[in-house]
Amino acid sequence: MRRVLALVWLLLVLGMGGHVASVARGGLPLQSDLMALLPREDQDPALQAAKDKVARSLADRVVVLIGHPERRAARAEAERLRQSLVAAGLLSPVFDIPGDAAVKRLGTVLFPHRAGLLGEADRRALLAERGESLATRALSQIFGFAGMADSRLLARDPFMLFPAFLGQLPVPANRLVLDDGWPSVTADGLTWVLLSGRLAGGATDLDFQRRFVQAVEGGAADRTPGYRVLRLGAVFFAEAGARQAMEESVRIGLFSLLGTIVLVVAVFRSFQPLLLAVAAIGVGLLAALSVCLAVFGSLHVAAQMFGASLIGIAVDYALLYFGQIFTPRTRPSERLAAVMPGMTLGMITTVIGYATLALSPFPGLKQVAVFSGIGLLASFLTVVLWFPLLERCGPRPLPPGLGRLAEGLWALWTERRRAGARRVLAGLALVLGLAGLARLETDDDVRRQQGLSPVLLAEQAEIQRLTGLGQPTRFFLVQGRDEEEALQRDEALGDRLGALGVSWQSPARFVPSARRQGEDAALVERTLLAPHLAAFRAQLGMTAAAEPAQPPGRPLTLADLRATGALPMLDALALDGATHMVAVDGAPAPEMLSRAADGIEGVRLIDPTGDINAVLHAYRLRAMGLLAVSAALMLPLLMGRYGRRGGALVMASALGAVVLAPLLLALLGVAFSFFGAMALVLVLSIATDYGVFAAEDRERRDSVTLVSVGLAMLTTLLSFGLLAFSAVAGVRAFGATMLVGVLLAFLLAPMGGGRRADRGPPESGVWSARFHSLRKPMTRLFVVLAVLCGACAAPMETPTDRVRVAPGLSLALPAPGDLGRTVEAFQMISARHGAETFTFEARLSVTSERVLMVGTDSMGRRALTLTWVPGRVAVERAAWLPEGLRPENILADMVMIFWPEAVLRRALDGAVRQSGHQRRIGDVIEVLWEGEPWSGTARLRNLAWDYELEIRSVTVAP
Amino acid sequence: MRRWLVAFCLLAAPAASETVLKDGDVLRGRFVQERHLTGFAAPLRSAGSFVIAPGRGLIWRAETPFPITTVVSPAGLLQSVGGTETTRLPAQRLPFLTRLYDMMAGALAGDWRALEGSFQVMRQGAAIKLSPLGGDDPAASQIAGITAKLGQFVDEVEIAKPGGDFDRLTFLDQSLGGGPLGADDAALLERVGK
Repeated sequence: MRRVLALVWLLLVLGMGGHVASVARGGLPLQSDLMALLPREDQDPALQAAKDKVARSLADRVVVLIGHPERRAARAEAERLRQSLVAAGLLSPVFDIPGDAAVKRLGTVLFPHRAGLLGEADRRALLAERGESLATRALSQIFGFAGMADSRLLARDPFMLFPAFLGQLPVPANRLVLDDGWPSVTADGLTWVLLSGRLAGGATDLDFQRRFVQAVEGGAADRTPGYRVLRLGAVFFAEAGARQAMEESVRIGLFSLLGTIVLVVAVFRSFQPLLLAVAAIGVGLLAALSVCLAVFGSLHVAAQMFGASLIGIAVDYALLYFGQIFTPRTRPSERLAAVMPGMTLGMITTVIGYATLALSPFPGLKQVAVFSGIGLLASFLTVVLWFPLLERCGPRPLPPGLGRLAEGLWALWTERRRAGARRVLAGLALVLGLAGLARLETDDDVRRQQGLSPVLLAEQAEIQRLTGLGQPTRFFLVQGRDEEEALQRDEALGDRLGALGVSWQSPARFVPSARRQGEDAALVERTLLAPHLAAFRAQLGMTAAAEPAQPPGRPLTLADLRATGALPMLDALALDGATHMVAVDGAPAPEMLSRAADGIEGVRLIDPTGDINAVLHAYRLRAMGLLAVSAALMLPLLMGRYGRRGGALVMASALGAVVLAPLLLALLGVAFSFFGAMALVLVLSIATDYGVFAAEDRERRDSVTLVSVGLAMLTTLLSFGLLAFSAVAGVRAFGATMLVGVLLAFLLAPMGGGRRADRGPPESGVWSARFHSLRKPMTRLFVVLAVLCGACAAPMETPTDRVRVAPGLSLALPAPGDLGRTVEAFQMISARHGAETFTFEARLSVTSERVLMVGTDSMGRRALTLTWVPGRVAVERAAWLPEGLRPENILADMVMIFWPEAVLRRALDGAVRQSGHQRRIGDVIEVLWEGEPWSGTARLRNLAWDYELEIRSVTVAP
Repeated sequence: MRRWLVAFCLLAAPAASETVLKDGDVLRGRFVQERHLTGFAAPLRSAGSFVIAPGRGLIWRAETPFPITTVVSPAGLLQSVGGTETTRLPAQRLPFLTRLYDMMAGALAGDWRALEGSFQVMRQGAAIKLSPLGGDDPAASQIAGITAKLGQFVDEVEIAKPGGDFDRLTFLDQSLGGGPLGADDAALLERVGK
């Protein structure tokens, strides 16, 4: 049956592999837009398209400033760079400064419309009825030094409003001058020459990024000393980020990989655990990818990255399984059976944890939930179905050092005499936690989390200082039904911005709306020409006839201006006929900007960084809320299995790690961010796993379990904790939270599950073949669930002195002390009845006064607690155990196998023959030993009732 | 404005003498400016004083008919009427100003090479004639020709424009020295860049 299930799973995995491969052939549909993580209802498709267009246009911009003390050298280098970039197909140059010819074309197109073109300041002056100030300005320009007046201009534009309009156009790079064809500026003893343009490829294309940046930097070697190169553009940041991430992932990844390999191989002395663990993780990722692609159609890289971190959890299952090679269990099925309950409960709680993420309206978290949940389930199934078939590791002794460490940790949490130490630790945690709480700060600013190259940031600031060119951080999107309405809304916004003292660029600054052109012409007429023109002309002694501007046939339009090609920046501002971008200079307070847009229809402040920060903030809060929900959902399961107190303690150990980790990091000055919160979601899952694994074996204080959990912790630290050394703040916060959280989770893990003994369902005989149904993993899973729902039964007492061991053959139970020694042993017992075999394990403690045997079934549940004092056997057994399983028979078989021949002879009225490693009881029962009975394998065959036992024993220290 | 700056390059050119303006020198004097514009009955006449400090800038104070002060420095141009600022053009906003300032500075130091790139320079005794070479230097393209009469300093300049307008500047009472820049003048030059 197991083979069939394993084969079915193999076919499913192959199918999913084929699915992913077929999708990936055309390139995996990955999404990288952080905004796609926002709830859908927040997104307006038209707005999104406009934002994307602006984002693309900003991302494509690139500016290189070349400085040299000699003008000629700077220009030559700029020319060389331009040629090489254009020749390599990397750049299409765009000139930010209109050249002479362009200005002439601009003037030719604009001049006929001059009556309706007013500079912002002039317009404000006229609206305030300060026409005389413009008249005075005109006089100063005519009479003052360097006046631009000539007779033709004065006749057509006596107050020289048109030059004023041209002079105030918000042209970018306004600190540069066009020096013989090259935009240039001289500062700090250097001549700076500007090379600007648009990328000829995608800024997000890694290969293009690399080629472009290499081409820009490539010339550096050929340059003579004295050159300085400043760079501005998304492509430089993207390339630096990718390079840093690559270098880091190679460095950290290599260290992590080698560390994990060395660790796993050194501990297990075999490559099998490593290979199978990789298989479990790989299948998990493959299944997650396949299901996500099928459900969502595409995969967000954030979900993928976070989902990939489930490696940290999936590896727990594999290592828990392989920890079993340190036990006497040699059969894979026994090993699986031993870890099955912990693993199952761990998987269920973790999947519940992720399922709560799916409850959130955030599409990103839904993807994370599905990706992680499916991935974990697939890893779990791989361990359960494949490991027992593939794994061939012989038993190994537990490295004594590790064993002692594990025992120390068990002792700390379980021994009464360590209560003082526990109290001290709790006090310390409380004090440190409170101190951390006082210093806890949150930080959702993506700029601080991104790890932007400081060198490039400094270059960007210098370019801004030298040229006025910057990377706009916030902008407005203005939408209207048509161009006219969009222009009117530009103007309404511009009026507010102007009043706030913010300088801005909008299409309407270049081409006022038709309405405003009409209004402005009327305003000039009413407040300037009518009251002041006659006196002005008299003052100057102008005799020639005035040539007032003739109203043009139609208003000026954006298309007129764009056709001149003189203002390339207009293409970036007018996104389409009815959608405009309005950029602001500098970095005014966002609140001020959003107030400016308030109440103007069709105008929205877009703050890409702010939007991302808001997403991160919302996700951080959401993740914390969901963390609480998933903890609340896990608790009943844990309580069902470990009792109220035990379950609460398991949860407390996990929550302790979750709560303490950010507080301890706060003490180190690490602010709590979105990335820390996402790490905590993982920490809760991992810590619950550890708690459950430990709780399962708390009663036995099984060192192997803690060693397995410790290994799992170390591999998680190697894969995620090392990220704490990343140069990227967000990654560092994630890594540091994982490092501290997972370490705490391990240290706190043995805390919970302590009262299981009081609650565990008792079990009667485990020899019976009636257990065969439990051998099927799925059946076991359901049984576990049933048990979790609270099956339990009352204890019972069986007064007995004689036990029937075969037809016509009975055994008078001797006294426990008749064994003649004390024994503390751990036993693996395989019982065969007919064609069915069932395995369970037992802890046996024999003193002169009593025999105590605790049996756990293959699910790890305490099925049976048997206490035998002279003349009386007390049994606690699970209600669901078949009545036919009698505890006294278990005892009788133990006596027949282990008690001395002389005692047995008395008990059986002499029906015992023993020679060497063999003992015959009556004609129907046969006992064989390999090695010492208490440290080897013993077999009992009952021919009359057709059953056979194989008991492997290891004595343990009391 | 451009042609004025070009013209001004000539102002301090110590043509016939050996006097060379150097950093720290201050040239002071008075001027009369006549702008002959087509369509105007009489030339627009203004008069006042000026101060030139090489490397720092020029202050041009018209007193009649209006009190207009123009300050030009490497940082740009500032104009005020009766103490009220009417025009402010940072060098960055005024294409070519930097280049012109270089030319002016060159001429002030007796270095004509900056002008020779765009003008043909001809000396005839106490006169100097500049004709644009017709290149793409926008500074030269709006000037039809410049004629200057030279004494110890430049005494008179006439600048002809392509449309038939012309400006005539007459310089009087020029003196080199007379102490460093006054605090007011220094402050004015500083204000341009602010």
